[in-house]
Amino acid sequence: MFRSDFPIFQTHPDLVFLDSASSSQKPKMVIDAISQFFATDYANIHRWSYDLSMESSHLYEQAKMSIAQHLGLHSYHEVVFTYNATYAFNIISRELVKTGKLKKWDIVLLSKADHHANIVPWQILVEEYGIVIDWVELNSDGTINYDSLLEKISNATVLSITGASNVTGEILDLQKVKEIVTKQENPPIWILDGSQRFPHMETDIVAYGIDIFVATGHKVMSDTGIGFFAAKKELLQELVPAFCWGWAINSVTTLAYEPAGLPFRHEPGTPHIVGAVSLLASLQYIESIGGFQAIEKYEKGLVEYTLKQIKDLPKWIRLLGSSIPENRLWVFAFAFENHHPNDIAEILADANICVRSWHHCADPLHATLGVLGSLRMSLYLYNTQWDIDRFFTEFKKAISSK
Amino acid sequence: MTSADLIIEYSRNPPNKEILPNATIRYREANRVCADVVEVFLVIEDDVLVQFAFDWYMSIVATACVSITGELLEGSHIDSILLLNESFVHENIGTDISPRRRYASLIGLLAIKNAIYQYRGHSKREDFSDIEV
Repeated sequence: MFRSDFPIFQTHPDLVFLDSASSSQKPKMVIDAISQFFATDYANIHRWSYDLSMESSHLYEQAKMSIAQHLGLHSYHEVVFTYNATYAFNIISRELVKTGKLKKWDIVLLSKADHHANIVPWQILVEEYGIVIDWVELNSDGTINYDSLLEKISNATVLSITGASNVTGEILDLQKVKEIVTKQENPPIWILDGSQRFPHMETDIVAYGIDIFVATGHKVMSDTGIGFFAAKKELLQELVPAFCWGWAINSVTTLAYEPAGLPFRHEPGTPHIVGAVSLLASLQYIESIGGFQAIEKYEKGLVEYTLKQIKDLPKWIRLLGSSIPENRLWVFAFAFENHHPNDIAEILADANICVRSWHHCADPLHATLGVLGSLRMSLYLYNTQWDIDRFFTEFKKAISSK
Repeated sequence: MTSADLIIEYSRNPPNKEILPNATIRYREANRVCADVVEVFLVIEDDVLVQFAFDWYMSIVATACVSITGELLEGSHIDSILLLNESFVHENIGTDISPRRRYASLIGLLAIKNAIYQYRGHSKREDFSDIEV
């Protein structure tokens, strides 16, 4: 349906690309926008001495505005660009400490389904500042145990949790989490890892009361090296910058520095300007095909189709996550007792099928489920039933070949 | 007088560019991107801004806009000043300031508002995102 918009599939007509949870392919509209930007509008941003810089700055801010609108926010000042989601988590965690919102013995509640990007920055704070990490437990299929969340949240200063798992494909029930969070006498700061969620659906973070939303651009068809965190302006103004130089400071003396306000406060140094332009183009592309609703509708059909194929697999192949389509992304991870997932991925690669194997930066999830790794196929809007059929044909051959 | 004439006149002869030793509050605001730094001096009596002056290192647009903004606000209750935003500058100085000098035209209002917060003992400080419209 959307495949013809992606030049990579014209270059490689036999390519079966099923690794979009890792990084997505780029539509022509994004590729052209990058090229066009360098040809006609490029200059460093925020050098308001000449018009070319103004145009470049305008596109950079327009990218933020577009993100803000998809998150229920109202100002481009409420979006901070980083290099990726991992970088965003590292910045946020440190800024919470610097601002005094997170102190020694304070609890950060994570889930065992979280990506390492939302685990390790907090573990570094354990080492450096003595904060404490607690974990939301998982059900036997790897999905979030909401009873565990309810039980542990009252002691938490921060809840940082994935909005959609990159392994089980589970979409977090934000309404349920909101009800749990708002019940608390002292609600924690709620940070949502939207890395897997943002490419698939809009999330009104204001309506759900999410304090900070983190995502990355390359999973939503833009360039690598551009990610962001978004929050209400008051919080961004309050957070003390963890990294500060260039335009992120107002003044420097031999004794001290003074951080700048928004929009410069959290973005030290020259940013990835064309990355922002590519992210703007990817969101414009999504709007041109009918918005996130069109993606969700198309995704639903492919999820149902894939789950039907999974039912025909031998019983010793374990699907991680729920086997029903509700609250599920098009991410499917399989674990085997008798095969290393890398061996299966290698066979599939020979058939021009791109999947990802091993831990997917989610070791605690795999450990909780008692497996060392898995083989993951993940789809996006350019995939079709043809891709899924090719995968399952070759997958069945691969698992029976040993 | 066009806003361009106004800016040229005030940048050449800003009537309130001086240091006020008797200021109730003095506050420095910087915008590194536009390379403007202003220090404002406010004499406040009964919560009214009775005298304004400024000093430091600024471009033509910033010098003129700080000077005009301060002059216009003399006699205002400080609570009413805290409600002002970019529209005030547009309405009183004109909208034909180059977009390239947008923040330069706003730094005076920003500095005065933040000086008032400091005078009030508030920790709150505004930035450009608060006064943009």
